[in-house]
Amino acid sequence: MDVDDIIVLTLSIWVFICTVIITAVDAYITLLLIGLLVVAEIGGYFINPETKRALNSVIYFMLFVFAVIVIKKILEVIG
Amino acid sequence: MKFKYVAGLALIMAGTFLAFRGAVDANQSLVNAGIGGIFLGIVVLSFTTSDYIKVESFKRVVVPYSKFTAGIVESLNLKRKSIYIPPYNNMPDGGVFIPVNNDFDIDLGKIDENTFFLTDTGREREMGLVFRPLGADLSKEFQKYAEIDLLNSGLAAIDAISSVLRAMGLAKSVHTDINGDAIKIYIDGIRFREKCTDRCEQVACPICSSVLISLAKAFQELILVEEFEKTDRGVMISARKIGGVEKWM
Repeated sequence: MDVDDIIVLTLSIWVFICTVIITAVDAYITLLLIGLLVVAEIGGYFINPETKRALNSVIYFMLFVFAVIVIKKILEVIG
Repeated sequence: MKFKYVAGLALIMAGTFLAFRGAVDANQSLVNAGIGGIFLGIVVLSFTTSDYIKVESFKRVVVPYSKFTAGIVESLNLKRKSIYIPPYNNMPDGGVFIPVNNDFDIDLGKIDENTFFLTDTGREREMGLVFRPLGADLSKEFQKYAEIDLLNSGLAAIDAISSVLRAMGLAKSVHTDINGDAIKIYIDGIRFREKCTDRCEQVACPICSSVLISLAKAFQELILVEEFEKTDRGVMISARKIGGVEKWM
């Protein structure tokens, strides 16, 4: 099996597990981000530079969403 | 290639539909499933940048070049095994030197990118054939993939080489035994193993060549190839570090 396929398969399994277990959307997105970060870090050597750049864009977008979630939670606590 | 695009777009569309349906029905699990689908679709689309050619076509294109280079060495009747020179000022991509004599000497100051057959020397033992390593471009890819500079990276280079060759489908793993200056390099599951011959000790294929030039760069020492041996799992290369660029200047 190709390394790219293993990476996609790993993420698919992670998404499936998260979908089954988690119901809160903020926790769900956070777990997706963690999964993506772990895969990008462990599989970094195996991923070609173009794909890595594309994945980084996804990571930055999800980090932005994560930041919004954190700010929302802080405002909830303060409020 | 096209299948990945179709799969990625299908996941995004299905995810969007599920998320929309979940939002309308106030079903949080369905919304999550939709987000997961969109997420996976984007990830799948991210992996569509590589272009592939058939292995047989690749062989037909690359093997003649290796044979051509080996033919030059054969016609010059060079008997000595090759020496891999790490990149330095005169040769930014490194080089391969095949000396005329067994009792060789190298003056790296007299070699540059435009040198091919080095005859303009005072002593016969400095004469030899110089060419750019066939694996120089592959070696650059190791650095791009692993995002490291192989220069002086030492043993850390082995991990990068092994991972990138595996990712490219050219070998399953690379590991080394280092005992003082002696190095044994094991390239397991190497593609085109059937093409490996005794001639590899002088003109290695791009895969073995990339490993040797990368190690020369990582250790910042010239590497003398001593023996190529086919093993059950791939290829074993015996080599020796013979000092840095300064020593041979």
